[in-house]
Amino acid sequence: MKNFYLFLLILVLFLFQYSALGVFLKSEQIPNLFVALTVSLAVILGFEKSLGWVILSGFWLDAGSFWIIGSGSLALVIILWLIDKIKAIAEFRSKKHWFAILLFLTAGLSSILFDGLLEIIFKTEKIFFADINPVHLFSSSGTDYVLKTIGTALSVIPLYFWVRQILKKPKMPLLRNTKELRNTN
Amino acid sequence: MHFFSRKNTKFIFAIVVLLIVVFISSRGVDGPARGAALWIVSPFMKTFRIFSGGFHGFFQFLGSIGDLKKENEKLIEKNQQLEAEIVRLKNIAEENNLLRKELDLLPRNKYELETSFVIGQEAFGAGSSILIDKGANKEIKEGMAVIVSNGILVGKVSQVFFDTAKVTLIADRESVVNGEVLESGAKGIVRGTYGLGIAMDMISQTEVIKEGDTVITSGLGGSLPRGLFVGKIGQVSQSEDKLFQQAVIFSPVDFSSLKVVSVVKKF
Repeated sequence: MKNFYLFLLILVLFLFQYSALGVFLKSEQIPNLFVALTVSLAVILGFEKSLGWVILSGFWLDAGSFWIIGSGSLALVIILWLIDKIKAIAEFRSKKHWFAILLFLTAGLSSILFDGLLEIIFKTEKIFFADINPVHLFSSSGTDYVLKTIGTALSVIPLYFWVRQILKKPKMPLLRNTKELRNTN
Repeated sequence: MHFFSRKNTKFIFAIVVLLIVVFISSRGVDGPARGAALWIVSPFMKTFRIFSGGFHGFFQFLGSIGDLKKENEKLIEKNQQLEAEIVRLKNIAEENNLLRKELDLLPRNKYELETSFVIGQEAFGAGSSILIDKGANKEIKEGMAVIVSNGILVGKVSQVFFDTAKVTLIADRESVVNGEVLESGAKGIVRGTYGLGIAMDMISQTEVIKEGDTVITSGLGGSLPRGLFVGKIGQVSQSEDKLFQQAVIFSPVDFSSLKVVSVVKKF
């Protein structure tokens, strides 16, 4: 069931990213919700457990963006691996404000890194496959880019809590019953 | 900790697999996968888009109540001007019909249009492409012109899936359209610039073009119909090599808020 909800969350993010947010924001200002999801998954599940989910969300990202399929996933997997290398953020979980600030900064930096990585990937693709239309993520104006990065950084906070809520272990009824039995005894 | 730990090995393996996927996709085989993904989500995209549009419109309406009176006055004035223009144009149309009959010319063909909802937009970069809810199922083909208001060019169909299609807007940097200045007959190439701007270049130095002139599609090449309105000329300047003139074009369309477009299937 958890997996199904997580899959559903990825689909909802896709719909927001490519359909709903475009009504409210300029294209250059739309936050990268998939980077925010990757950061959340990296912090909650770590690299190995979230790898599959990140690749899946990367494929949706590629499908909606009309890039060569695999390009977005590649950038997200690199980001996931790098965040996993910096494990310090998870140690701040108990200090809520610090943790929120660190999440915010990590997502903001990841968003910039994602765009940088994609530019490199696109340039490399262009060398090998000349007939590809180049995509320029940094072509937007400075203000729009800052707004987009802040949007991505802010979106990680609710996303982190949703993902954590989805992945929360359910209370085991058997164990609870044993406890109740002990208490009645 | 050595480099080839379990985690790093998985990372390298994932990267290699994804590189293979990129290579295979670049050969053009990713179309069906992308089409299938879009086929699954397109009904939801449409619903999300319409719902968001309504939500956005409601708040925009609340915010604009103060300006409505002024806007209404302006619109009444504009409406009167347009009514006068319509009467004048009707006269010209009648005259045109008479002349066509006299000259034994066939009536001008009307475009065969397929009206489509915009269900998605490019979420990264300059936003120079949109996704519409009609595709191969409605005989949409690559290269077809996409217009609004029955004659204003907004882009061309660049990729077709089963029930969706990608439209590259004329403001895209890779977009190239043959244009013509209506007043002088000067021909040139309409291209997208950075952001969502449009410019016309390759205009011969001998041609006289000025601010406010109308740019239409020239129909050269045969892929687009002649006479689609592109925009009005803004600033005119010299190209870097001084061989040609170039001009900024102001389109009457706000590319970032397209809701419904029409694909020209036949012209």
